[in-house]
Amino acid sequence: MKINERKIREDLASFSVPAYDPEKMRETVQLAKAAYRERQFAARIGFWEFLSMQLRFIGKWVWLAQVVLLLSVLLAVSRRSFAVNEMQHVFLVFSCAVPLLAFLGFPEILKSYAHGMAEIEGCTRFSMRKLMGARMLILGLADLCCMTVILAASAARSGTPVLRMILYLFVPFNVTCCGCLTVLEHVKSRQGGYFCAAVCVLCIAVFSQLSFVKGFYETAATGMWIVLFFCSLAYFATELFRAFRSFDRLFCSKQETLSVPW
Amino acid sequence: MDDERLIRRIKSGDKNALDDLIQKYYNDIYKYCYRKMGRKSDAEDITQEAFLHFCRNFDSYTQRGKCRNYLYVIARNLCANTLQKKTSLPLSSIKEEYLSENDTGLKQVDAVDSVQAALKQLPEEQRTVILLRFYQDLKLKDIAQIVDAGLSVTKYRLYQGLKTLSKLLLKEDWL
Repeated sequence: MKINERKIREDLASFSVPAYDPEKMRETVQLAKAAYRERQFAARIGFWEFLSMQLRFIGKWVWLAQVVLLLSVLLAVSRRSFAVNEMQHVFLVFSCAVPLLAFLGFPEILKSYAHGMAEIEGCTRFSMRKLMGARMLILGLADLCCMTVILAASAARSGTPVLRMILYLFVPFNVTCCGCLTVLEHVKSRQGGYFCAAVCVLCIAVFSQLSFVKGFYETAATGMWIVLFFCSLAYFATELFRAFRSFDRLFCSKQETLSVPW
Repeated sequence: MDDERLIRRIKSGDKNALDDLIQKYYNDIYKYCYRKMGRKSDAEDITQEAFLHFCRNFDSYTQRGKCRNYLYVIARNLCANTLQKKTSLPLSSIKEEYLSENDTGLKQVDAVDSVQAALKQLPEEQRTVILLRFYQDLKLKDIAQIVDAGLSVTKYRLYQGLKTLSKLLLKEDWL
């Protein structure tokens, strides 16, 4: 059968469509705009995007201070080579630098409380717990990088076993962090920064004094350092958990509008 | 303005671009929905829902083909869903609506009836191809993309649809 396309077209053309209601179109535009806006708020963002977003809010002075401190430590460690039994200079550097390195991030973590922004941050897009967690993670990773560089440089210069150097580095770091986290858990105000600074000074003073006690850094004392390391690590984990719980308590476990997969 | 630029503007948060896009395609989508559904209120609702669906899922939209085709796909699926839920509409109600909209007399209404009745007798796939080809004036390549079929399959459906339609309309004329 031959198809007469022209005839069919003519027939089909008789099926015209009534004009649409312009009001309905205006309503569609309004609703579409609202739907587009809602989509922007409801959109989930990834973990790395969230982290990079928070990275921008950390003050430049923190990075600058860390770089200056790292360079100073490297300079102090590399000025001369040490014999294995003449390590007091390196331990003194560790005792002063590591608590300072641990302390540097805390004023940044306390920033929200110091400037009275905690309420605003707590009721906006992300929960306080996530904001604090992200900041702590970023600053912790930066600290870990600095410590790795210090460890590599000092182990290479002194020839001391790396495992022992890890203990000498991480025990002061953990102890300072524990002290500052305890402060963070109990004092959520501008004063928190001063208390953290006091904890840092105390740690520097204690560990500097210990660096002059020769027996404390001898091979025979390694067992004690291991015990100290694990105790401080356990305390650190507990304090971290408590600090996170305290953020939740403060803002009554607010239901979030946006969830970030952790 | 071409679709690519409009989409880029929408992505950058320009609300007027969304306005432009809706105004550009509203009539086409509405006409398509009307011919699919046969009732003005349904067509308007589905057109609105198609644009809202587009906005809600804007992030998943990737500018590969034409934006218009994507909107037709949404409209087609929405029409299919609505038709599945609804029982078929009596022709009398279409006639009443048509008379109230266009006061052009009973003759035209009868013509509309016969065309619409003929279109209704076509299988769904063929009807969609005919509507998109003859009313929306789309290219076969675009229709193939919308109905998610190959070009040769789309050509075959068009041919079969025309053949059946020709037979049905000729029968109407004879009667």
